[in-house]
Amino acid sequence: MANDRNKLIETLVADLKPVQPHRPPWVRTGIWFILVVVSTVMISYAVQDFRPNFWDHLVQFPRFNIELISGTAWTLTLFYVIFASNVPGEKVSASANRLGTILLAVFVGSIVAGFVIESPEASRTGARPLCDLEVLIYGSGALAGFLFLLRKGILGSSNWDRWRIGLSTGLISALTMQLACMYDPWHALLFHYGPTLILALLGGYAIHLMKKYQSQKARLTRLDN
Amino acid sequence: MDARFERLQELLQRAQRGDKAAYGTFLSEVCPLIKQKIQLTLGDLLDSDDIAQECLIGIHRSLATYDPSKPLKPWILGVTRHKIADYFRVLARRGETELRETDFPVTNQESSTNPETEGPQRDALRSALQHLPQDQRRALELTKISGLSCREASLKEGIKEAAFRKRISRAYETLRKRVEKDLESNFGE
Repeated sequence: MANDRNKLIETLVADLKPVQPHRPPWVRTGIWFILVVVSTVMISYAVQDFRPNFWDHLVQFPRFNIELISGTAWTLTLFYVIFASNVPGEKVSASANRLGTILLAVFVGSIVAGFVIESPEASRTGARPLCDLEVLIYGSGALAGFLFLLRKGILGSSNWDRWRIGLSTGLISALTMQLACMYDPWHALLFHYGPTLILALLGGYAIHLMKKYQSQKARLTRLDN
Repeated sequence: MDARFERLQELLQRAQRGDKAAYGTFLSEVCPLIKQKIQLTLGDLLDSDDIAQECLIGIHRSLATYDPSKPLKPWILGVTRHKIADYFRVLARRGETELRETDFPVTNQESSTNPETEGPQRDALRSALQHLPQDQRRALELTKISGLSCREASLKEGIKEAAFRKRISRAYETLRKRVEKDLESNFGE
């Protein structure tokens, strides 16, 4: 057994290459968040102008404001957890967990409240014909970025992380679409937030396949050695 | 901070810069610490050598995730925790599907030959099992301590073999969760 261990250590030492220590999770979260948000907003704006009255809606309807802010903040916490879970021993504090839960509750609550309390009037102003497809495409772009980072070993890949990755990428494009596309609570639920769930499933499955492929490859490499 | 961990931290920082000699020393010194920790937490329940080597591979893969400004101990414990959890997952999965007796070394034939560690290891195993629900504890006691095969143990318990394997699987899952909580204490002391 000691021989096996010494042999393993020799192999690992021979394989050593200088590495640049990763930046802290919150820095990586911030950079990634800005990249995803800016690219999603720019691409969706390039495809079609945002709905003309979105700023009025933000100013006049606190409920709508709360929906967007809590949704964005919750996505940010999801990003943080995804980046932090890759670092052994890095724990997400109980207060951060509580904050995430509160943000999720506020976000879901504000979507539900959109059906019953004062909200922007439902109209087809600014409607985008394929907004659901746009959410899927923009989200898939961000998901591809996450898969690249995952391949580089920069992200966590636990079962929960897989869903978080898919969900968070979809949420950014869904929240952008809440400003870019027509306002109607049912339309938002079905065509903006709905595809987010599809992305969560898609992301989870894509990462599952990727990890399966990686572990098979690693096993074959070990057998070769 | 413990002087030993200070030294290990320095070695790891040099390893991150590509110093192979420092890396070799680091791995050689950290491996027994991890192995000891696993044995003190779980006794002979798991193959500590095997897991310690998996931890070395984990450390190698996660080398870039270590932040030199932070203490080393939680980082190593994090790697160890992941690897033990993975090990339990494999055991739990096998418990349900293809449990083979050879996968589980019988612990009444001591694998350790060091009399100084035998006692604490056995105590650790008993202590780990004590926290399990009675049916799960008995399942592991019959297979791991009494050395019965799954078939023999299931006959003794008067349940189907598949149900008995499921019980073992649940026992490992319970232990995994417990170990994830317990691993923090007494590391490297």
